[in-house]
Amino acid sequence: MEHSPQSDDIVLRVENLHKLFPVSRGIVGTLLRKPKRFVHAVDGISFDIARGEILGLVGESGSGKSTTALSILGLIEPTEGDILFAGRSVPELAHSSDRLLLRRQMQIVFQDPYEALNPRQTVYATVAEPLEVHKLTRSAVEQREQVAAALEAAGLKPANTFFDRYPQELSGGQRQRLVIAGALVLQPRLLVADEPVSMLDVSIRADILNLLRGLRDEHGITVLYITHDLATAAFFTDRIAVMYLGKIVEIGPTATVLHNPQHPYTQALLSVIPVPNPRRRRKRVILEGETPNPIDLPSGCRFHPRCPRAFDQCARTEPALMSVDPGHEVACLLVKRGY
Amino acid sequence: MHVLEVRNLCVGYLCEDGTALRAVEDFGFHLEQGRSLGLVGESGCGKTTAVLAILRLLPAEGRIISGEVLYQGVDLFALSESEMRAYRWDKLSLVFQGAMNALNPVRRVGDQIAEAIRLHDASADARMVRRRVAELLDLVGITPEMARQYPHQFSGGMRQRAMIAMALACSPDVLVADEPTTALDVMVQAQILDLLQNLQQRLGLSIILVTHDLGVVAEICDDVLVMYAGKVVEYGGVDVIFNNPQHPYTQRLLQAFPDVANPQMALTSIPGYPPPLDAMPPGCRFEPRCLCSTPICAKQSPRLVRIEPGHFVACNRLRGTPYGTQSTIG
Repeated sequence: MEHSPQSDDIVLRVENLHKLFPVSRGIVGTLLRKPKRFVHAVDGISFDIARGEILGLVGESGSGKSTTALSILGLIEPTEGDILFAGRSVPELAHSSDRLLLRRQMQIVFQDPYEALNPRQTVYATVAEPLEVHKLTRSAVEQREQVAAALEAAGLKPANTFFDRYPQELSGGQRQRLVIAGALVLQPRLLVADEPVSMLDVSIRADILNLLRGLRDEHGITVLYITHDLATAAFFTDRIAVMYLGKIVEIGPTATVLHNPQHPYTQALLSVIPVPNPRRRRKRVILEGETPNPIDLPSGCRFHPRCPRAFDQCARTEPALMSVDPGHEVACLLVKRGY
Repeated sequence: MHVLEVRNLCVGYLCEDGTALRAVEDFGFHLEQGRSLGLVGESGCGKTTAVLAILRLLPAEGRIISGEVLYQGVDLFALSESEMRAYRWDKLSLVFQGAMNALNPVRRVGDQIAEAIRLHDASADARMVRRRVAELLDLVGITPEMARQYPHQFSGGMRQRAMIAMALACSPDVLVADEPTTALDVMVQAQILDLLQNLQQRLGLSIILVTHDLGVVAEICDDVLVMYAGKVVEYGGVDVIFNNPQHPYTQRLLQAFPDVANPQMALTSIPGYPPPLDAMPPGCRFEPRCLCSTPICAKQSPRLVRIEPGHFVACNRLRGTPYGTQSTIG
């Protein structure tokens, strides 16, 4: 996968995205005129996704990855910055008469397939509903064909044997396939998958990940894969962006980030992922404490209080993303510009 | 001598019509002082049922149908409930699944740990209890001043540490941890695993770790027991299970698990799903999903046999001495 695509190949561009959520001061706080405080959920991130690319957005809870996803989908309004989807601004589209078009072209697959499905709707009705909302079918026959095609593309074959079933008759993996079929039926350009396998058993995770990769390979669908699990991201993404406290600290081609991680946070994260081979037990770089709350951000580099390699300047200067290799960018004062 | 030995354990759940569905069958293992055993398998394969039965903490519908649990030679199933209480928490204790939500939200963390101490040592005075709480919190890496805080003031990782402190309150020999790191972030998971390993070494604890995460097992366990549909399918040292697995289920499970150190590896899932309790296949329980099954597998249920020293497998393709005979243990 080429990491620096031509601009007309870019499906999604996130530019300097910020999202702040105000923190309630309470009545007393308001009367005492305490200063307003904010959760800095996303604090200035930029990236592109090329057509047919799978980008993994990796971070621990509180890193801002889900807020980023919701902003991209136009479900929450960014505080600052812009999101361009096929060249048009998402925050603007979300309030325009074209918003149905936006909704059609971007779909999301949520974490929990047990909660994302209506238990009283059959498989057929679940997949046909989006077609009706978007008025995409002219006849019942055509609708049947589209529903069947989406179910089969999601791996529920033969489709007609599933039509009249209800979600509780499906296994966890089949339910997640049904959720994916409901997204596919609209033929979206971008699929946002927010932890799509974390609720599933290990034995069937591979199926869903292989399915997502197949959708890219066969239908050219662009995928934004959001996860806390670097191991699954390593397995099927083209590029990885690692987030910490609302910022991207490292972004680059998956193989480069895995084999040559430059940011101390990425290095620590990689060192603690359990590897299923006792002969490869390594020295784990265990960071102390937990991600600080994003209300009172540390000065300078926001990672410096937990960084094993921090030096005095880190508390004062906030590092910007810098290229170390083509397409590989790192935000750390220790890292020198490579090219 | 083994600190804990389980033999031929069968556990069932009582249905409304009076029949019992067997969730665990012919389950057994032995655990030595200071070692850790990983219990792995997909959800619903009976891991939690097995460990709850060992501690005699099964829910009301649960029944121990047969088997023995020997703690230093004493059969726990032969004890009365009040005698059992002297073992539970004092000798064997449990960190529950979803432990972060197991704390009482309206009581201070320190008081909850103190309660566990007082229940098992009525003679302890307030000062001794307070000292012990501080000691326990320090042991798990929480500053003792935080004993006065409430659970909501603790992060997920700290709540899990507090639960471990509580489980250690009466200095048990055996700690059973049921999915202790599920739902925690990777870095916090690493901290908790590090803590468990540390405790194992410092206190000579024996640990039974129940998990579905093969990576966690490979990182910290000495022995591994793989369960499928209520039965032991493979049991052995961690190296042999990961590098020379012999049961098709273990092999498939390893192929389905992503390895960050080897991202090029093709991941293949295991088609189908484990059989429901009321429709167990008559022969080998893995047969319907197995790629190397033979006609006999549909009829004959394989026994757990020793195929090499310390390595036990239940598969019709393999021959060996049955597990449980004197020559195969120890």
